[in-house]
Amino acid sequence: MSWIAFAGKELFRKRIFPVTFVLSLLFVSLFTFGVYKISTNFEGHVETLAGNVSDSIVLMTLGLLFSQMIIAFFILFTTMGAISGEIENGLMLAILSRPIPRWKVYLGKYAGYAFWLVLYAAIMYFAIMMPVHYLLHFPMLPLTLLKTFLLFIWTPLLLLAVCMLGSTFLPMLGNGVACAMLYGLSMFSGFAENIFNKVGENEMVSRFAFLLKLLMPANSMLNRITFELLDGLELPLPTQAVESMGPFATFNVPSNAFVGYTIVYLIIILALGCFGFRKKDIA
Amino acid sequence: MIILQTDRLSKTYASGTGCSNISLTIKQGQIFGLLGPNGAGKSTFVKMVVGLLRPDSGSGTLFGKPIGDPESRVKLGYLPELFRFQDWLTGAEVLRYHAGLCGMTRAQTKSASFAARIKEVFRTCGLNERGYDRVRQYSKGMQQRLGLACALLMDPDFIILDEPSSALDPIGRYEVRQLLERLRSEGKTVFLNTHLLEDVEAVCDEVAFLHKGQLRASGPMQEMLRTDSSWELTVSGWLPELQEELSEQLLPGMAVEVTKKAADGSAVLKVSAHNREQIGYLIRLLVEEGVTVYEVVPVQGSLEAWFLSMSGGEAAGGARS
Repeated sequence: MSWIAFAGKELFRKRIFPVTFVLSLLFVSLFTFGVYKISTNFEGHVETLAGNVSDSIVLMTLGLLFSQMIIAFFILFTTMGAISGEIENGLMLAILSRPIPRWKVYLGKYAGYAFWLVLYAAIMYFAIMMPVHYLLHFPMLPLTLLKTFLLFIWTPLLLLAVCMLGSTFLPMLGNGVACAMLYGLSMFSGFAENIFNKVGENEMVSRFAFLLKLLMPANSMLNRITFELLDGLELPLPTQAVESMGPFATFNVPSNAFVGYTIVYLIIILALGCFGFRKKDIA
Repeated sequence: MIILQTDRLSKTYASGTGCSNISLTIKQGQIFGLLGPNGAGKSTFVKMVVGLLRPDSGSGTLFGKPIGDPESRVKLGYLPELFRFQDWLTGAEVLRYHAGLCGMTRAQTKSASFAARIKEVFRTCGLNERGYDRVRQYSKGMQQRLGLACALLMDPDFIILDEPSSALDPIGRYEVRQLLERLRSEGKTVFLNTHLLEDVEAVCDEVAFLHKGQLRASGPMQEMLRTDSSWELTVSGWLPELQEELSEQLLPGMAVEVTKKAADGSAVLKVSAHNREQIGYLIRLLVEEGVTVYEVVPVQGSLEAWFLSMSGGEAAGGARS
């Protein structure tokens, strides 16, 4: 509880959360306005249900993608100096000389940030999904909603762990750049793979994308979310509708085993961070 | 009771600086001063003791537990050098946060008794009501006072202060000295890491001198400052020509210098000699020349002179401290 309260004070008093909320509200408002305009365009026109649903999927995927990117930037800028920054500016000197094992400090900081991050991600997730559901009448089953919500908040938790691990070994700015590039590469490789797969599988691109997925599973989780949202709905979509979504198509949907891998991934990343922090000299 | 004991504790940075083979013993109830020029390796040594740095070699115990073990730091209060606190918190929130790090629950840190404790340390360290302001609004001196409050918060038995007076004005320095005296009277042990000699001279029982990462000397302050080679003689009946006459009869290694001279024949002589026997010999010569010797006082070395002699009059040469 103390770590959560402490992280909350930091995020609010440094005005990170207020600023993020205002800008997020702007993003969500624009998104909702877009959804509303599309929904009104459908009215009074003879449209196929399939076309309606297809547009809803693209909009929803775009909304989820951009909200994930906003959350990713929030994580990067908030936590790129979580360890190294606090060492560099002397905050850690008084903290680590207390009778507390370093791994507890590390995991405490992770838990504190994670709590507020999940809260923010939850707000963003429902702010995207609700307009799509109510204005575009996109069908959502409660179980699907729960599964996709968990997957949606999972990626930020992974990115947070990676960012804190990087912060244990790299200076603040270097870590920010490294994590942003890793996240960007992960997303780009996923999009590139989808585009290449549309014209026939490219082994080299697929292999490269797979390696990046192992390093940073952000894009895979987004693919899985899209897949989960469509799976089992028995939507009246043309056979090629989803595949024609270009970079947002759901080729190579990550398996349950891959989702399981991300759990192991998180545990390993956190363990590595704790180990690295324990061994680190605070000069 | 031994509070801290280190045995050949060493830490070398990639630049080749740090400190090596530092063996020290700190006993309960004393104020121990670690002296040395900037970059001598004082802070490196302290950081190893409080678990911030991992020693390359050697070992040490704090309250009987290996240094680096969090358990060894339960009764420790530490004021780091060049520290910062979370400037988005108030001073009181910083203290509550540190209490949490020391194992107190959130409910305990919010209790009335702990609020009273916070108030008490704020008063002790001269922060008073300003302790409830945001750290962002503090001057450097106030941040230093908050650092002191943080070090004293959990009523530690052993307090390590790394340059505690560095950001304080003369009044603040005086208050810190008073505080150190009070801590000693309460049976606390204080380790003072500083290059401010007046602080050390005023309060320390024992001192150690570190230079270029090496321990040059360690022991009780009076012992460190005692010098057997210089005496001051107050005499009367002194005549200017006596100096030349005496110099012909002095033993090898002896020298006489007149530091004060009055028209009535009284004078103060500064005498260099190897031992007290040589001083006895000089007194006999003076008496034979008709000089009256009123007082013979061994010259106590100043801490500044000792500091300069230990460091050879040079700084550590940019070594990391």
